[in-house]
Amino acid sequence: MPIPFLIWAAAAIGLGGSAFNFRKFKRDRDRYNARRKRYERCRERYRKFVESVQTEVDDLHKQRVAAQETLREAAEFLVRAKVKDREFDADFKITPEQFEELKGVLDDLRNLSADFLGTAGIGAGAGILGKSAALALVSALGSTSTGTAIGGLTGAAARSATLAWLGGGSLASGGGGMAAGAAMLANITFIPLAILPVAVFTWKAYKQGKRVDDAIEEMDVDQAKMGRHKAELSALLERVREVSKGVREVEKALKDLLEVSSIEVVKDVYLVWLAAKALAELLDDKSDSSDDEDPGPSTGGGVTSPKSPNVPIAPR
Amino acid sequence: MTTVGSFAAFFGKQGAFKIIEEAVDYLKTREAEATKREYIRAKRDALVTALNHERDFVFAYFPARFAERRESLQQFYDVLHAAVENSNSDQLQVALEGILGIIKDNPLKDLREFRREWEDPNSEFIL
Repeated sequence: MPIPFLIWAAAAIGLGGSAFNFRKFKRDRDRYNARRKRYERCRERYRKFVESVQTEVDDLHKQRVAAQETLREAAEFLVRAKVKDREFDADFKITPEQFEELKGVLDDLRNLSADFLGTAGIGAGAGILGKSAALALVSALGSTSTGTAIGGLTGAAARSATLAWLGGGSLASGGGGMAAGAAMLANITFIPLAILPVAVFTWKAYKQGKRVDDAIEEMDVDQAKMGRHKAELSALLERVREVSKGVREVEKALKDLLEVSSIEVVKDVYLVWLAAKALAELLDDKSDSSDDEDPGPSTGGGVTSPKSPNVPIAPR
Repeated sequence: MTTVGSFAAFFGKQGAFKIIEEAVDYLKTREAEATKREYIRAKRDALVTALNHERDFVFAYFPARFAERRESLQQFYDVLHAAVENSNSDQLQVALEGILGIIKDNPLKDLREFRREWEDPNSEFIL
């Protein structure tokens, strides 16, 4: 008698449980998909924004390289004007120190290298973004919280992973951890076999729900990181534009001066020297923040992008 | 016959007690693990809040700061081009010094300072 009763009871529980679990699976899947869709939209906007910043940084780099050509012209002009032999002090009250500086600028102009604006930081940021392409939905059952298939593990690692799997995944991924897994394992021994599939299905549904919760939380964190990074990049973009305009305006002034200046006129030579010196300083990277060990986002010098947010974690 | 009775008949009395005992143990463990999970979740929530505050600060501060600088720079650019047009060396020097003075002062260093302050638990922010 007890056995048929158990079978009927198990069948009833099985049917009811299956319907309940099916609805839960569907609800969790829809919840995950909706959040994922929003997240992907946000990520796409973020990616485009990073690309636009990178483009502007590249443009600034090109602009600075081009400005070097103007500086070279100015250097040639000053060499032809024999600046080193001129006595500016009489006309313009140039101190001996300033005169030495002028000669130094002439040397610097010849030595300016094209690699003053390192875009490696931004490039690295883009590289991290590139990895996002590898972000596929890791939904296969039987994978550890790091996404490694349990079958690929051996010994203690395999045991821990299996216990964690039984416990609904690692604690970090929203599961019950190894302890819950071990307790579950102990219980399973005593559960009547007829109810076992329903219990496992229910457990799986519960675990799936936890995974969805966890994935959504990961997306929340990642989205918040993208938001902060985007804000920092906006500031960086403002800075890039500021430096870019500064270089453009001073270079234009120097070009205008070179067009109308004569090497015979001391005043002309002096004006060209002033503008060339200022442009050389602008192209130089020694802004007042460059002495810091942890530069963060800066420009006018090496452009370092803040760390890109971590990749999101999909339900495993 | 009740379900518990069925279990007892099927597994024996000892088995039924064992099931209950294991179930209680399991629930206790589960409760403890749930608490740990809540802690992890709370930490994540705090992280999201902190990140959002940082973002809001950066969005509120830097556009205003750069707008102010842009205005000053524009005035110096105007002086610069006037100086070139008039071949006025004094004016040119003033304009170039002004431009360099502003541009070489990188406002993004404030971001670093802000981060340092933000990570210091003793700092207070008045927003």
